[in-house]
Amino acid sequence: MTKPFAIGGSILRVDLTQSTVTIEPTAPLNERFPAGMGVNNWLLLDGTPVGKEPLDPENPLIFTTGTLVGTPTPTACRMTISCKNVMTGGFGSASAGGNFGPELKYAGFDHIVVTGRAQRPVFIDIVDGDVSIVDAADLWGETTWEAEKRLRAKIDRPTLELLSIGPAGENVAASACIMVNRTRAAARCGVGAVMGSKNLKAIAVSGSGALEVADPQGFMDACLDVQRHLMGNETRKNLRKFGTPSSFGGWNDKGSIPVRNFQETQIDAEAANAITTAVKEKRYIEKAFGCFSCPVLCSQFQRVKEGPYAGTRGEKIESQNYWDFGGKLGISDPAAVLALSELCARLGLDNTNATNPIAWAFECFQRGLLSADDADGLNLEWGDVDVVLELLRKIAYREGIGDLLADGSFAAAKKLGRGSERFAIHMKGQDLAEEMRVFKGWALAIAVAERGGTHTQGGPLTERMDLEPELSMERFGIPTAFDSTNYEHKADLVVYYQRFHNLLEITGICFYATYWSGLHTIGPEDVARLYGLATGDKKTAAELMMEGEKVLYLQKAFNMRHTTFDRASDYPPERMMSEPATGPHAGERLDRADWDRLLDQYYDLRGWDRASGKPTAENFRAVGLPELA
Amino acid sequence: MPTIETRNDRCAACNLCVLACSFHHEKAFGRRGASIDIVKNEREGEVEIVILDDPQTGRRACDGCVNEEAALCVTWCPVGALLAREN
Repeated sequence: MTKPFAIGGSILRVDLTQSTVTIEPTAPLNERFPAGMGVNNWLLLDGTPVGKEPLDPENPLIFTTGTLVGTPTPTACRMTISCKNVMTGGFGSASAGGNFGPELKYAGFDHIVVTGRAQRPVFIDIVDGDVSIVDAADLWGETTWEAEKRLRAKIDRPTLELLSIGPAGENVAASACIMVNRTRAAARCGVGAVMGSKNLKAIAVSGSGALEVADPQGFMDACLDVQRHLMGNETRKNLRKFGTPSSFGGWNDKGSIPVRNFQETQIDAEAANAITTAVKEKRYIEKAFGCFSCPVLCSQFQRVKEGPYAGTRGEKIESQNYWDFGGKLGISDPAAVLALSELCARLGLDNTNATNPIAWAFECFQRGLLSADDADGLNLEWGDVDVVLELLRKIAYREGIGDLLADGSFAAAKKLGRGSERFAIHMKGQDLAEEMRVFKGWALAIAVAERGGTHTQGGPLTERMDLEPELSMERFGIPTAFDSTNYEHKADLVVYYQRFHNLLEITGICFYATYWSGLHTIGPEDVARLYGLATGDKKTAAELMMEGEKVLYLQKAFNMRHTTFDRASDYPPERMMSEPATGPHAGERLDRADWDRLLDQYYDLRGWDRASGKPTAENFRAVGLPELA
Repeated sequence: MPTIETRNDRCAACNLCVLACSFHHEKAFGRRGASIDIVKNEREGEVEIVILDDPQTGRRACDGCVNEEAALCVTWCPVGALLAREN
């Protein structure tokens, strides 16, 4: 059978308990579900037994890439990793850029499904269709950087891409991520802990194949056209110069970053200036890098040459790193933020899920609920870099108080009690990354996200854009897309971006090249054009957006099967409702009555049951997923 | 046939040149079908562009995109790290 256009062609299944490898074609599942993320979600739903804890060896850990990954589609490099969420018990996923996804497809695979638990630490070595499970006892205990370095020294092949976990994953910290190419973190949901629970240290892949597309010359021309358009865009130019931290000042100016465990929403002018000046001056930036097939180049290599953090170096610092360390923990020294980020990358820690429980502990200390005696003698003072460095290490190795913090703030507060539960800021059990009080559509997307608190499943950025209402009508059919504190029509906006984000996950295109972060970049019509030329499937933009809708239903189905989430699970943390924002929107908060109406509107748009927040069997059939009805 | 000159200091390791090159040779997208390797050291932020000119490696040697209007890797590079020099 001829391989369909643009895809790798096969699903790789590795059972680490039985030490077996099987390979099957992807095509039958691609006919039933949206490729990439959609099939990944189905494999997760189909392969996860009911009633097992997230770290049970039977549960699968599933890797995929997008349909357009491996082609010159600008920025199409993303991979998605799915599992039962360690923090919520529901749907879990994490995404990363880099080079692994393309190489996996060149090796002929669209998905890797890992089940079981190896008796000893191993890594999976993929050389086209030749797959081995290899002893990795010598790598266990090593950081992600050291592990990849050793693997590169050991494996001599013309092309080689790697992903790995660090000590945090080995010790099954819920905040453990999977590091791709040592610089890109697949973060959230405890994906690194699931990998560690399987005794799987790393995956290596080398692919000698090539991807064919339906209309080679037409596709090349379209890709180059989009690339040139992107490179002429002002926002993309800023991303290339400064990376995503270029937006940090804007977020803070709007009073919408988490500060001191979400007690406030804006850091003071002096602290903000320390960070934004370093960003604008490009003080530590040596060079801009791109992920595979990306002309945007938002990944700056940075090096600290002097001061207490001299020697710190690394790539891909995000605006969110400054929220996590600068905002939530009160650290305003940008060099310290780089050092803390480097440590997280080495230990294999997800910045957000690692810093939230630390912020919770700091607030408990501030309020006298935790003492230095409870914290291995550490004084948990806001802004103390050395204490944070030590706590990150303790979390990764589950030492002392690190063992308490390693399961996230929700679990830690349940263990500690003493009224500390109020200060665990989470959605559905997963630590929260985002401030929610000011932007109402943003807040809705985060609250209803199936993976538990994330802006990457429908969070609109339009509310930060100062654009004309006419453009809002033209693009979204609503007048309020740019109106930050208005609740009206925000459910429509969130549904739009949920579908669009999922479509991007289906294709592997990076959000930063698209309508998500700028309205003059890649939109659904562009995606449809590239998708059609590559795959030969001439779906319209509207039809592809509904493929994104199916992806959401697959996630919803997982949560309906494995959790008790209901309408109550879609309410934001109490702090967002009862404690007002600081900064320019001082006094702003999420109002319960407004939220009630917003949720009704959101469920109504899909015809879901208002009381439970769940789809009906008819909803599943109508969206084209009768097997889930 | 033009020779491709490289500027490692500019290269952003995006591999778009590799994809353009594999398209030139195979009308398909992969790394092994290309005559360019991008070798990146993430730890030090360094990168090396390797233009393959020896068919003995089992890989295709660079032919300077003889049948194309211009060298595709040069056209596709978003940072000017590749230049075509006519011999």
